[in-house]
Amino acid sequence: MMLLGLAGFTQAEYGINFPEPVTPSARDIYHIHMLTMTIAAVLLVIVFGIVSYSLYTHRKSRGYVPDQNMHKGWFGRWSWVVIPVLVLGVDMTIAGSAEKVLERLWLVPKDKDMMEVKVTGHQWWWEYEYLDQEVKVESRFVPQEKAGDLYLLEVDNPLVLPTNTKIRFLHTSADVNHSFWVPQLGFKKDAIAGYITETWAVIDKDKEGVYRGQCAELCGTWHARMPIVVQAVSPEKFTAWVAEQKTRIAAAAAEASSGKVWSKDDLMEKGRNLYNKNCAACHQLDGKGLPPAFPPLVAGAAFSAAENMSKPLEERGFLKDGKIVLGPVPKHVDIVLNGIPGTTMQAWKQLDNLEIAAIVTYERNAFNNNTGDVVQFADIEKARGANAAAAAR
Amino acid sequence: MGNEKKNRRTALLFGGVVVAMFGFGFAIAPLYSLYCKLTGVQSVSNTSSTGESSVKADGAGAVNRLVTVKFDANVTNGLPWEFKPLVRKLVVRLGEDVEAKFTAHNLAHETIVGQAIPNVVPWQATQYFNKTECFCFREQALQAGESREMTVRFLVSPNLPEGINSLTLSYTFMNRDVQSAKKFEQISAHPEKKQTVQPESAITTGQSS
Amino acid sequence: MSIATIAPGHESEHRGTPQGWRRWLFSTNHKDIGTLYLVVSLIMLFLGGAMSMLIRAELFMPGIQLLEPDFFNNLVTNHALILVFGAVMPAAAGMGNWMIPMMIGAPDMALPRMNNMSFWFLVAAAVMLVVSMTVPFLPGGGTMVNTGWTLYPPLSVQVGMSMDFLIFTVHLLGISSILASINIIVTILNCRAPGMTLMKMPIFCWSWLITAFLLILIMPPFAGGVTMLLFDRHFGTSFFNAAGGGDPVLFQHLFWFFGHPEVYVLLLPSMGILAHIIPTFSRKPLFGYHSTVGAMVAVGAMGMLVWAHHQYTIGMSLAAVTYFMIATILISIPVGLMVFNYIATMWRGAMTFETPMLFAVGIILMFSFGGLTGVMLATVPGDIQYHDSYFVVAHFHYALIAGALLGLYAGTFFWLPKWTGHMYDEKLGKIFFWMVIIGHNLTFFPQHFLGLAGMPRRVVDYNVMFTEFNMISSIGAFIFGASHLLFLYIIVKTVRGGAKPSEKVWEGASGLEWTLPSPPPFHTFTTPPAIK
Repeated sequence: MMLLGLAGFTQAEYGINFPEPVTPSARDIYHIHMLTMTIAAVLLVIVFGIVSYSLYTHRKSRGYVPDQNMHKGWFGRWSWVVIPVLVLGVDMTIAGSAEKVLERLWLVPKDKDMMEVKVTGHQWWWEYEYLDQEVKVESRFVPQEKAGDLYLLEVDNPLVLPTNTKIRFLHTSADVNHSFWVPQLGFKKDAIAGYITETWAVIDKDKEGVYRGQCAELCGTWHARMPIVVQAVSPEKFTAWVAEQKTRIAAAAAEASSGKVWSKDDLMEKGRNLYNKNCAACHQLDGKGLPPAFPPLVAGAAFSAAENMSKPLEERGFLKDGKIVLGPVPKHVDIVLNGIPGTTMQAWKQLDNLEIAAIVTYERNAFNNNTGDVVQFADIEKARGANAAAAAR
Repeated sequence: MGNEKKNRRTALLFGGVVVAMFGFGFAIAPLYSLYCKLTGVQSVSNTSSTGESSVKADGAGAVNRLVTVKFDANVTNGLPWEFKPLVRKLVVRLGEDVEAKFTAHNLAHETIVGQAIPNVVPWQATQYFNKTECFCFREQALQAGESREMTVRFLVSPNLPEGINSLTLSYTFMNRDVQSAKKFEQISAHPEKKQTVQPESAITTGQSS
Repeated sequence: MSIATIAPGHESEHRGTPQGWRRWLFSTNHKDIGTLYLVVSLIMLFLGGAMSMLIRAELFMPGIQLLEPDFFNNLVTNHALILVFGAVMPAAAGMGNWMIPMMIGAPDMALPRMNNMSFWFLVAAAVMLVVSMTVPFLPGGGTMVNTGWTLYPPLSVQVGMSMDFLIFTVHLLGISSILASINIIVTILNCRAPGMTLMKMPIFCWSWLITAFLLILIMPPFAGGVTMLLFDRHFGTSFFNAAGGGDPVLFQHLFWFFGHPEVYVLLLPSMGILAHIIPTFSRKPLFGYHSTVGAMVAVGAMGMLVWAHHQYTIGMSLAAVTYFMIATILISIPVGLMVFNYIATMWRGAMTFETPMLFAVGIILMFSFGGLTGVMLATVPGDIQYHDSYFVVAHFHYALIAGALLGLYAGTFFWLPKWTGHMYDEKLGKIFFWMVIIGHNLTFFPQHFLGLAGMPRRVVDYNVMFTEFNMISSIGAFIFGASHLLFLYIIVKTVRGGAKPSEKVWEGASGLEWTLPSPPPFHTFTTPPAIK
C-alpha cells in the first residue's frame, strides 16, 4: 500500500523538481523525461496492482488451491511471446521519441561564424574563453561566508551569455576529467585533457536570468566545490559586457605599468593571490616550503640543503647558520625576477612589475615575517633596468 | 585408455590458443594501422596523418567556397608554457593552401619537451582538414625561457560537406615528460584561496535563479 | 568421465571429517568452502556497510562536519569495491559452492583443490585491499584513492601508492573469479547426475553457469585496463594520456566493458535464488522454465553489448550513442520476461509468507522499480540530465540492493536450515525484513528527487536546497545499517541452535538438495542419485 502511495507521490513531485528549462534542448529533454517517467509509473502501477492482488487472493491461508495446470492454458503456452512483444512495443515507443530529440540535441548547428565559447575544466575551477571576443574569465567558488545559501552554487565571475544566440561550446580540461553541467540549459559534456568535445545551446529570448550548475565528474578533492553560474543577458547587454571586460583588461595592464604608489594592504591582498597561484606549489601556502627541495620563506626557519642551493642563498643574504633570513629587498626582488640559476627556482620575468612588487611585499610580511617592507612598481622597474644594462654590457 | 589421446589433443589445442593469443597481441599494432588505412578512420590526435590523401596540397583543387577557420590554443596543467595563436580567425577558400602561426614561450628555468594535440571542431570536419605541415607532427623542445613561433600549413578539402561553414582548429600542448609535468603542476585551489577581485559591472549577479 | 570415479579412494585420503585449522585452510569440500566464502562476505558486508554509514553521516547535513573531502571520496570508492567484490560476489560464490553440487547430484565441485585456491586468492585480495586503504596513513604513503570505483584516469594516475595496491587487488580478484568460474562451468557441464539434462537442471545452476561465462569474458579486459593504468603510472606509457597519443576515454571503455556485464554477474545468481524460493512458497512449479533460461542467457549476451550507456556524455558520435541507447532499452525485454515468469509463478499459487518469500516479493516489486528507472536512464536525452547525478545512484542501489543483495538475504534464510540443521527465528526474520524494506526505501527513494533537482554524485558537500531529502536518506540509511546487526544476530543464533526443521524443511520445496538431511553430511551423493 505504502509503495502504491509512493508511486502517486512520485508522479507529482518529479514534475516539480526538474528545474525550469530555458533552451529548446532542455525543453525537449524535459518532455522525454515526462514520457519515460509516465510510462514507468504506469507500468509500476500495473505490476504493483497485479502483485498486490495476487498476494491477497492467492494465499494458502485463504484456502486457495494452487493451479498446477496454468502452463497448459493459452496464456500459459504463449505468454513467452506475448510479454516480450508488449515490452518491445513500449521500448519502441520510448526509443522512437528519444531518437528524434536526440538528433536535435546532438547535431551541433554548423552556422557560419557561430559564437564560440571554450569551457576548460581545472582542478577545481572553470575557465571560460570567448573565442571571438578574446575575453577570458576565471570562475571560482565563493566561500560560505560570502555566498550564504548559495554556497556551492555561486562563483565570483559567472559565464555571461547572450540570449537568442546560437552558441557552440568547446569543452576541454587542463588536467583530469571534469564535466560541465547546467540543468536548465539542457546539456552536460565531459571535459577531457587533450581533446575537445562540443555542445551547443540557444537560450530563449525572454529567459534572461541566472542559471546554476555543478561539475559532474569526480575530479579529485574539491569536485563538490566547482560550481557553474551562467548569467544570460540580452545580446545588447552582452556586447556592452564584452566591451567592459576588454576595457578592464586594458586598465589592469595600464595600472600595472603606471607609477602609482600602492598601499601595503592592497599590495598584500594582490600579493597573496599571486603567491597562492604561482609560488605556493613549491613554497606551500603557509610559506614552510618542502625542504630540502624548496626552502621556507619564514624568517628563522631551519633549512639545510645541498651546496648548489645553500650557497646562492647564503651569497644573497637569505641563509645564515642554517636558518632562513629575510635578506635585503633588492636581493629578494632579484631572486623572484631572475630566479636562481642552477636550481629549480625559475625566473618570473613574465609577471608584470606590479605583480612582482606585490609578491615580494607579501612574502616579506606574511607568515609572521612582518618586516613592514613595502615594494613598489618602480623598484621592480629599476631592477629590470639594471638587468638590461648588465645584459647589454 | 581412449581418453589419453583426446586429452593430449585438447592440451595441444589449448596450448595453440595461448600461442595464438600472444601472437595476436604482437600483431595488433600492424593490424590496427592497416585497419585505419583501409577504413580511413582517424584518431582525433592523429598527428602524422593528413586527412584525405586524395586532395592535392598544391591549391590546384581550389573551389569558390569560403569557410571561416578559427584558431585556439590550450595548455594543460604541468606545462609551464604560454601558448597562443598569432591570428585568431582566417577566411579561407576550400582547396587553398593556408598558413597559420602560433607562439609558445617556456616560462620555466629548464628545457621542457611538449607535444601538441590537434582537434578540429566540428568533429565531422576532421577528415576534411588536411595538415601538410604542422608543429604537432613531432615533439617540440623549448629551452629555459625560449620563445618560438610555430607554423601549421593546411588546406580544407573541397569535399567539405555543405552544412559546415565554420571550423575551429584547437591545439592542446601537453608536457611530454610525466616527471616534469608532476613538478610543474600547480596547486590552484585551497580553502583559504581568495578569488579574483570583481570589478564594478553594469551587470550584477542576481541572488536568485 | 563418470561421477563414480571421483569418489573411490577419496575416503582413504582422510579418516572421517578433517578437524581443526587444517580442515579450513586445506579444504577441498564444497560445503566448507561455501561456508568460508559466506563468512568472508559477511565480514565484508559489515566493513563496506560501515563505510556507507560514514558517508551518509557526513551527508546528513550540508557542510563538511566529519570527513576530509579526499577521505570521503576514498570511502565512496572503497564502499563500492568492498561491497561488490567482497560481499556480493563471494556470497553468491558461497551459495553456489554449497548448493550447485547438491542440486545436480554431484559429490563435490569438479576441481576441489582449485576451489580452495579460488577462495584463498579472494582472501589475499581482501588483504591487499586493506593494505591499499591503510598505506596513505603511513608516512610517505601518498594520497588516497579518490576516484570512485570507476578509477578513471587521468585522476587515477595522480593518486599515490594506494592505487597500485588497488590494481594488484583487482588482479587477485580476477584470478579468483576466473578460476571459480572455470570450476563451476566444468562442474555443471560434466558432473550432473545421469538423467539430469541441462533443461532439467535447477535454475540456480543455470544462473551460475551464465554468470561464470560472463566472468571469464569480462575479467581479462578489466585486468588489462588496470595493468595499462599501472604502466601509465610507473613505466612511462601513454595509454590514457593524450600527450603520448593515448586517450583517457580508452580506460572508460575497458572499464565499462567489464562494468556493465558485472552488474549482471551480481544480479543473475540472486535471480536464480528467487527461481527456487517463489515456486517453493507458491506451492507451484516455476512458470516458464524454458523461457526463464532463455531470458537469462539473453540478459547475459545482450549485457555484453551495451557498456557505453555509462558514457553518453563523453562526446560519442550520434550513431554510436543511438546504437547503445536502443540496445540498452531492449534489455528490458528478457528482464521483463524473467520478472513476469516469477509473478506468473505466484499467480494462482497458494502462497505463505515466511521470511524468504517476503524478501522475494519485496525484490520483485523494488527490482522492477529499479529496472524502470533504468529504462529512463537508457534514453540519451534524459540521461544528459541524470548522468552523474543522484538519480543514477538511486537507480543502481534499487537494482543492486533489491536485485542482488536482498536475493542473497533471501537465499540465506531459505537455506540456513539446510546448512545448519536449525530453523532460524521466524519472528526475528520478519522484523529484519521490514526494517530492511523501510530503511532501503527511505534511503534511496528521495535520492531520485535529489538527482532531478540537480545534485551531482560523489560530492562531500551540497547546497542547502538539497538538505531535506539528504536528511531523510541518511536516516533511512541508519535504519538499514542497524537492521544488519539483527541479521548477524539471527545468523549466529541459528548456527548455534534452533528448532529442528522437518525432513523437507519447506512444504513446497522440491529438488535433489531437499532430499538430503539437514545438515547434510560431509560428503553427499557419493553415488549418483536416480533422476526421473
